[in-house]
Amino acid sequence: MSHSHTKPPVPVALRVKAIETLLTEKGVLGTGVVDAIVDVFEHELGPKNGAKVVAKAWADPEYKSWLLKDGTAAIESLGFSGFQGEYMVVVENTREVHNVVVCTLCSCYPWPVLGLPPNWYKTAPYRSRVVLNPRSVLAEFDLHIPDDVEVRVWDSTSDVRYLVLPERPAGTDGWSEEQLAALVTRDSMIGTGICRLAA
Amino acid sequence: MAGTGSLFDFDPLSIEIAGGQSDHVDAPKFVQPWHAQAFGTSMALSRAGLFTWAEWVETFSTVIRNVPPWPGEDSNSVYYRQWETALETILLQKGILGADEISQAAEDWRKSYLATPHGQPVEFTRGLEERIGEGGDEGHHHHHHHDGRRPEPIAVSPARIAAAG
Repeated sequence: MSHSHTKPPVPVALRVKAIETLLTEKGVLGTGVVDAIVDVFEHELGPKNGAKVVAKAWADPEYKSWLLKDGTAAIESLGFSGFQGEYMVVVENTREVHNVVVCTLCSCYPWPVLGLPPNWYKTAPYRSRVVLNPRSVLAEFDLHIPDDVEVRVWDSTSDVRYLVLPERPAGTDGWSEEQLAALVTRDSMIGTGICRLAA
Repeated sequence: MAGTGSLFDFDPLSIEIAGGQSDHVDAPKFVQPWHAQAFGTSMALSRAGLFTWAEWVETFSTVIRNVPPWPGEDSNSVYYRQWETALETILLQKGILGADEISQAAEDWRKSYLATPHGQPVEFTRGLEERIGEGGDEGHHHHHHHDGRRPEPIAVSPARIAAAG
């Protein structure tokens, strides 16, 4: 047993450990600061937040017009802010217009309302092709945009984060915000999907 | 330019997103602990005021352009490898940490693992072995300014026929 040892992680993981160790030793970062941020991302931020925003907009016309006019403030009023969601723009899907969001440079994403981005959002094929040919990329998501609908592609940056307000599914008149929120999918708020249909 | 295959052929990890249901509801989690650690470290540094998030995005997007995936590397792995490279780049740029001291501490961590009996917690110990790191750095930095004007779509695919009344 004297030769027992612990297998080290891959080199890049060791460098990340080294960086955090050094930053803590030098007093640049306090102990536990990184873990606290990770915990928020793993447990508090996610598409359920965005679904609440969407459901409220569907249920409350005044909130909806505020949301479309000043997304940042309207979203913050529900308690979702910070973490680079400082300037939020909400774009509305209608019978005439379908919106889809990308970050062409890297993976800028509205974290407070959607959490971490899905893998495909971070890939080079999505980042380049959705700009060049949005309709065919959306078709790969099984989302076939009719020919009489305009497709707008929005490029998220470090300054501006976009959230799509999807169309409210038919047959949901009189539904509560909780019921409505359950229909909202993550991809519908990126623009690569639509909401679930009312059961 | 863009690949010829389907978006989902590109990455086995994302296949479930095309057909799955639960994936549309929840945000993905960090796959490896070091992914979370790298992500959280960049965010913590920015929140502590050591660089702006715009500076981070500029550095990260430059790395994404200049550091290609390895053959067979899945998109999530390359993404966080690029993230770590960007983190080192901006730490160097800002004079917060040097490449040599990161390499040395990484080597000390590796030796610390090897010196720890299996099943026991690994404690960081310096000087278990002397070795000079290889360093490494990123080159160019392009500037991408996004002034806060009225947002416009980056692309528009117009309606191809008139809208039905």
